Amino acid sequence: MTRAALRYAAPQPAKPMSVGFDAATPTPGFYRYRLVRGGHPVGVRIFYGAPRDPVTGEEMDRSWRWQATANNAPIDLERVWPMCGREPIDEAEHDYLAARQAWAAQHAPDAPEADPRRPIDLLSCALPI
Amino acid sequence: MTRIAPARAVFPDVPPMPGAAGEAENPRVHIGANAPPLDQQIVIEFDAAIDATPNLRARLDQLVARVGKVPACTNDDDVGKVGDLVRIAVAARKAVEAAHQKAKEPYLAATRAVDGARRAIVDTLDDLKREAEASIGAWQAEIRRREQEEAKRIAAEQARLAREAAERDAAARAAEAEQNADGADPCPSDREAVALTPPPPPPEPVAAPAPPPVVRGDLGSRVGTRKVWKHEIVKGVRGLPNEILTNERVVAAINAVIAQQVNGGVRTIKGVKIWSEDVVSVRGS
Repeated sequence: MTRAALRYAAPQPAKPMSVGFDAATPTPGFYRYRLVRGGHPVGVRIFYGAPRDPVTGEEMDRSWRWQATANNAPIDLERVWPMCGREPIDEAEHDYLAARQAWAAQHAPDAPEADPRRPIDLLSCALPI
Repeated sequence: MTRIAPARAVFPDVPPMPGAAGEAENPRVHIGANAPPLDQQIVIEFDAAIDATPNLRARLDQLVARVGKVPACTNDDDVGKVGDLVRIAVAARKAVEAAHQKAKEPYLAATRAVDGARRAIVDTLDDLKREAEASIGAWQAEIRRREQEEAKRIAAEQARLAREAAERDAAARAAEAEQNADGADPCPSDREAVALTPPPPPPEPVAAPAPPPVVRGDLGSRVGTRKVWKHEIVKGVRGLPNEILTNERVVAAINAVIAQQVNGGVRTIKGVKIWSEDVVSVRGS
């Protein structure tokens, strides 16, 4: 058996990736994400820093790590990343989503945005217009 | 069907109840006799299915009240709200369809059951009809075969008679020539030849085609044959005339095939203009 002189699998320079993102490394920023299918979107923040105390919220003297929040509430990074990476938003939109949930949780507990972990019931939610 | 038992004749002077012995039985006196007709019952069940879906009736009232009052979109926020309204309307429509399906399913199942019972009978009758027609067709084919054999026999007989007549004429002419060779004039005058030539026979009348024979059964059946025209495209579609290629149904079928190919990604078809348009699309999350 002879081998071809031409190396078809010769190493080629990698083509630059023009779209997408590296799912292995979290990208700090703000994102829109739905925690459940058909649920209200939440504002997700991905950042690298020291963890906070889950009870008091104070920053603890621990090693820095990748962390995530959903509407300013701590959430496991693996729960949102990398799925949320396809819909980045700005900080204002993130704050709007968080404030909307905070308002609904206090004043309209039946509204879809009050509980983002619950699918929206299109037959009972308030009409938008 | 549960029926009301007739009353005993405890009081002889009281007339018997309807349905008692000796009285005509009332067909409406049984359980379920006061149920509404089916066309009203299914509507009642459909309304009940809508009412059984939580929030659906109120949501339908809200959406009906919005008809004709959708505001014009002036920014992306309005577009988002109107899009959500479309999603809600689609969700309500799906719920109504589900209620409709729920109300209709028992009747569809009943229809399918009676269709199956009908098909079991009708298929048997069709088999019987097919078998009987095959028997008649075999007999008619036998008749046609016999007629063709008779026609061949008659043609062969006529050919034989003609051949024998020709042979007799040839023998007569040979005898006459031999007799003339003994001293008579071998070339009669033209006047005599014209007198000896028989006039041409008149053309035989063309008989009208006989109607196909019809056999009548004792119970009124008329068994005969009818001509059925069939076709086959032999030179491909390109050889067909334009009045067929431009027929409305043919064009509709061609459009369906082209639409399937365009949806499948084909962007160049000879003689077809293909372009794209932006249409409104509202999708859920």
